[in-house]
Amino acid sequence: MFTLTKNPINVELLKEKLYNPSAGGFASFEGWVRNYQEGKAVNSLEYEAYKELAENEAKIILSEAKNKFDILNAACTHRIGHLNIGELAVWIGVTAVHRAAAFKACRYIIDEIKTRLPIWKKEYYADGFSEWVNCKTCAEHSHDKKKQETMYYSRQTILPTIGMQGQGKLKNSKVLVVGAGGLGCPVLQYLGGGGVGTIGICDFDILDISNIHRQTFYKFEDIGKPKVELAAEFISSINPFIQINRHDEILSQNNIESIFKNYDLMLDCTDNFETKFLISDTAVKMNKPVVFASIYQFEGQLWSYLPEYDSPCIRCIWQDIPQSGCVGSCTEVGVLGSVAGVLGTLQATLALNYLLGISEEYSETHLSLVDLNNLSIRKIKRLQNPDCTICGNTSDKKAASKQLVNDNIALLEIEMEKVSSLLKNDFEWVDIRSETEREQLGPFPYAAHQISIVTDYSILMKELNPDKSYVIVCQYGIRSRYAASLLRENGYPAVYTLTGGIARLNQSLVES
Amino acid sequence: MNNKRKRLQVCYYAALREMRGISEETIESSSDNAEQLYDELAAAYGLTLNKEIVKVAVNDKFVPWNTVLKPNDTIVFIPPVAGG
Ligand SMILES: [Zn+2]
Repeated sequence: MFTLTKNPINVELLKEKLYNPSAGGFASFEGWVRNYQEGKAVNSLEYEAYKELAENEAKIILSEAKNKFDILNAACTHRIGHLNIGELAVWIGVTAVHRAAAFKACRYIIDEIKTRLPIWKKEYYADGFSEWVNCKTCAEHSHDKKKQETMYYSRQTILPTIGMQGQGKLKNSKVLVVGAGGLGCPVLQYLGGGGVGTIGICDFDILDISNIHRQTFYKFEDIGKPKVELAAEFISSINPFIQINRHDEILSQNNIESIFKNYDLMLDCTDNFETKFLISDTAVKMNKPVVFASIYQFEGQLWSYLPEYDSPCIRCIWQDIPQSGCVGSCTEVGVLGSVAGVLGTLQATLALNYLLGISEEYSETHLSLVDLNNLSIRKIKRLQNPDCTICGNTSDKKAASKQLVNDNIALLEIEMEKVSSLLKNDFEWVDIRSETEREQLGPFPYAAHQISIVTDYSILMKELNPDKSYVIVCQYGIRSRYAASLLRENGYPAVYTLTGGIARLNQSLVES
Repeated sequence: MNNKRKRLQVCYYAALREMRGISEETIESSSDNAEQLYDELAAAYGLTLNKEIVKVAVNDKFVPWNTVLKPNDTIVFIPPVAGG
């Protein structure tokens, strides 16, 4: 149970509601208004909340606590409005059969409440100034922007499977959309509106009059202009809180890897087999996930390549690139505009589900045949083909990565200059420094994972995949060596530690 | 080919649907496997896509062409499509 209140919190009443004869322990936490903040004297403060979202998110946190810890019940109340020094700002109470769970759950709830609830704090200082302080860079305008952003996503963050946490995942995601046409428009619309933090648009075409009937961003007056510019402009106009990258080029062998490496997920919205196969082959090589869609008249096909789930690749089904003429493209056989809209919208939904971590199993392994002649979706199970020339057991890639692991198994420590030659592109950086270290000493720009370790190294085993290769970094290379050897002992054969840590990197940069 | 005829559900997609003119039908066939069935239908209805390009699924699972058919199986013929 969670409440927001303008009135002083009545602790006795809240405690009474939690009373349970089978409870052997009760733990509570009280957050009080204190009289200084970062060296400044504070006279009073004001809390402001986005009520519906805060209540919804708090409900999620309380049920998470009940699932994680063996407790009987938990409740939380947060004050809003003006509060004076010494007043009770937040109260949390937990009952459990045993005390340990009660303490842990109480701690969990306050930590999550502090970071996830859309509640903002304005401090009134003794010197007459005041400031919003929910975030570190707490100017008045950034408070307003942050609040606006929260309101922008409020209709989807209220969904229990998304919440503020899911919205955060989307904000941290980097997605490349290849093709800003019939599929690309709805895809960009919903990924952009949905709050994917970084979106790359790759398209080299200029707008043709025959595009506009199904490509919903474009206007008659824009004919002849580059689509990537028009699409980027449109997305920026519907969501000012995200970053748009323009790739005004034809995707080819020459540029595809350097573009893909900046993104966590690709969406294939192209209209030809050559590019679809190029995207699939590269994704297998680089271990990057892709959601594919294709349309044909009143029908479409939808499937994903998700390396972490061992999805089959495109060549597991179609070994060779079909000649375009034999089955027909939009130009040759035509397409109904709304069919592109439906398939693109489905594709965007699959992508968002994947980024949120709420995909269902079929999206990893099935090809969906969408038939709008009769409004049916038939899901066909695909299997990885062991003889596939690209992703199969005998393929060059599998053989090469196996060889690589064998070559390097003896090697635990690795120097920066040798990282790329020894590991190629098949690894990810993991920064295990604490948040304070990262703030004070600067971020490690290549890190794909930031897993702050205080004392418990086993958290690495929860976050990292034993089939992948990682280079662990810390400030001086000591904790990362311990982490890497621990991972090796626990079935992670391709984990390394960066010799000398970030400190040595910085030093060699200064010297050069 | 044995002569025992069985009832099969057949679905066509994309270019094959166009060539056949319908998306789904129930047929009686004595074809033993998916390949024989495709050849039979291709001859009967002028399906011109060759088997290198078309993929077949039986009971909603992609299978090799030599997969043996049982009575009441659902067979789906799927050409690749690339429009966007
Ligand atoms: Zn494959």
